[in-house]
Amino acid sequence: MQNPNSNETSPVLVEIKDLRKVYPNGYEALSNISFTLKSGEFVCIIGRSGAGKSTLLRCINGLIPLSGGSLRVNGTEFTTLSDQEKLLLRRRIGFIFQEFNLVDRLTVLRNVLIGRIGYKNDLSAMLGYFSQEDREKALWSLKRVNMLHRAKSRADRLSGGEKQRVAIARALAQEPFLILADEPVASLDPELTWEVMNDLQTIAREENVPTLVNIHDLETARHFADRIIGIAKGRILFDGPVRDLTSDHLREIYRSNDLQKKSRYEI
Amino acid sequence: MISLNSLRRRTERLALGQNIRFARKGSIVSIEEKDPLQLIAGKRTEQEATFISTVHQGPERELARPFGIPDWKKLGILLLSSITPILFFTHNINLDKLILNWKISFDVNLVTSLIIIVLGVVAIVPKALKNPMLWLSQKTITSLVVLLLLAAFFLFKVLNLGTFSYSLDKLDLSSGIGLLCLGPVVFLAFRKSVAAVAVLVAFFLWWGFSIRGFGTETVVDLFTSENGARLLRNLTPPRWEYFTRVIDPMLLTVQTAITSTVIGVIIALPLSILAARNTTPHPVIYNVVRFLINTIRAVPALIWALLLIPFVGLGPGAGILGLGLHSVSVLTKLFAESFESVKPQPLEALNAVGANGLKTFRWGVFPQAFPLVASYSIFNWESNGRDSTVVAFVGGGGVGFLLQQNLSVLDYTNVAVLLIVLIITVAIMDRFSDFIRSRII
Repeated sequence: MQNPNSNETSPVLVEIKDLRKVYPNGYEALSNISFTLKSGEFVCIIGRSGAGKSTLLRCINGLIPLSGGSLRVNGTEFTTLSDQEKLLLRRRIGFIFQEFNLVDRLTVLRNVLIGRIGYKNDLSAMLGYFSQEDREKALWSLKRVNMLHRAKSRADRLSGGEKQRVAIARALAQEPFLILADEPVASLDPELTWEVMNDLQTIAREENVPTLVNIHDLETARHFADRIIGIAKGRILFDGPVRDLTSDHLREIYRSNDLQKKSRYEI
Repeated sequence: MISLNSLRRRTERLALGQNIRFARKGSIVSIEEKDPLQLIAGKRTEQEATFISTVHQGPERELARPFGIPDWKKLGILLLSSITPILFFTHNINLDKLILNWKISFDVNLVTSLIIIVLGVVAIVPKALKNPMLWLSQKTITSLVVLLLLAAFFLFKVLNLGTFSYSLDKLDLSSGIGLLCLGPVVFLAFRKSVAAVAVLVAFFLWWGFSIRGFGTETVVDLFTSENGARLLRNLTPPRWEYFTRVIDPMLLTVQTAITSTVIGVIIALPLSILAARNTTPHPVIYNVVRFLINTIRAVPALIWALLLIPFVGLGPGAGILGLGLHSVSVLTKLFAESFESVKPQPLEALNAVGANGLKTFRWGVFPQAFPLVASYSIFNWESNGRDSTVVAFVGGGGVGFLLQQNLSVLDYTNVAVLLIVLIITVAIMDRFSDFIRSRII
């Protein structure tokens, strides 16, 4: 079996084939999802609420199990891994949430150090001991998102944009080979949206980490993405560079379930 | 009947094959579109639900009117079924006592194992019927195995619980019928009638106050008693020479509180991880720990100290262990509840960085629950300080012991000194713990 932590990066980092997800209540959230991600790519996923975007991201890092298909991350088949091995793989996949999901009562630095927790053994994690190497890594990540000056303040003292940057730093501290972002800017104002997306894009380019971003705002997606994937009702309707995305595609992606209702792209 | 009409319309639409959108509550994904056939097979639709609720609960309350439209039929039933029990309970309608001579006896081992199996089946089967996948899940299988083992433990008399017997000679008919008459009120209370709930609360309180030996004469006695007045006179002036002999026992009381709280916190922390829904490794462990904790908590600390005397002998040891045991049970419940109240989103983030259960607890659950955990511990220390006085009644040392000695020889001037010292100490502990709590949060 291949070591899930091997540093050699193959050009194709994530390879998804016929991914299928059926929830226990019988609802088919995803079906026939196939695409690949190359290193350094910045991909935006667009689609309506409930189309399956979040489910897809959570499937990719194994937070929820697949119902079928194959998912290869960094050359390792995810579906056959044991729970323990999944943890080892997941520590190298950064995940950024809409609600930032920081631990409020801890300092910013501690929150970023949480990104290193997958690398610690149980004892030092319980005692809260982080080596100098870990701390340097965390400080470097904070510096990367220009948040070094807030390292000592508590996470609940930060503003929304700052919190999201700390969350990005936490993902960076994981030394990720893949970053997944689930609506990272949905609770931020337009100005902060731009800044946070800029951070994400720069990191993807400079660290050569492929990034997959779920996003509602089409303009932002168009501006930042190298490639756009459009999902509706659990199926991929569009996958290609931004310039190929036509209003026909948009109409399909954003089509309402109510036949009477017209999408804003149908005028 | 609007609801009937809407129901009919729904069926017509189904016949036409149109899709009806509905969202299932509580599920992660909302189901936007469904096949009409599936819809019929599926759960209650919104219209059905409103139809059922209108049939059961009568017309909608008119919100513009302060009291709505009074439902005279309901009020009549309520009035009737609350007056008749009064007549029965006060024996204004007096029925004879029914001579029964019933004798109930059964094997406790057998019945316990039966109850365990029935409760287990009730807990597992309906859930599993809804979701057949559950039958094969590891959780269900382990639960079943543990359940069967427990049932076998009792059935084969590993622990002999003997035979239960109870004889019922006569039955007070008036009270029995009075209780039966309350049935409609209970029914209405479950139908969310405020008046019915008020009637039930009134009955409950009335029953609580109808103790023989407690009434207006108790209050009169309190103010006119000769003996009481003499006691109060005897309390003053306190014999202050006694103070020198009180300081050491007082410190011992505080020490007892510290030791028992530390025992409580150290044992309660790991136990509460098992007893919190979101951190427990398995529901069976959760239930076992909860059951254990509830059993321990049902017995007061003083009784625990008394029960422990045969093990550790008379002295502060029994008191400390008794208090400690009580602290364990109280703190486990409080800690577990504070763990359950943490925000789940940071835990998801920890899961996403590859942290296992232990690490998620240490870095996700514990930091969030820390203020509550700390303030519960300090509060427990304070309450142990108060309780250790009572527990010291049985163990040597401590203010409680001196109090009991002096009370039994009616030496009230000493008791006064003891009480003053006790009050001041508890007040100091109270201030101190308030101060620390205000610092943590």
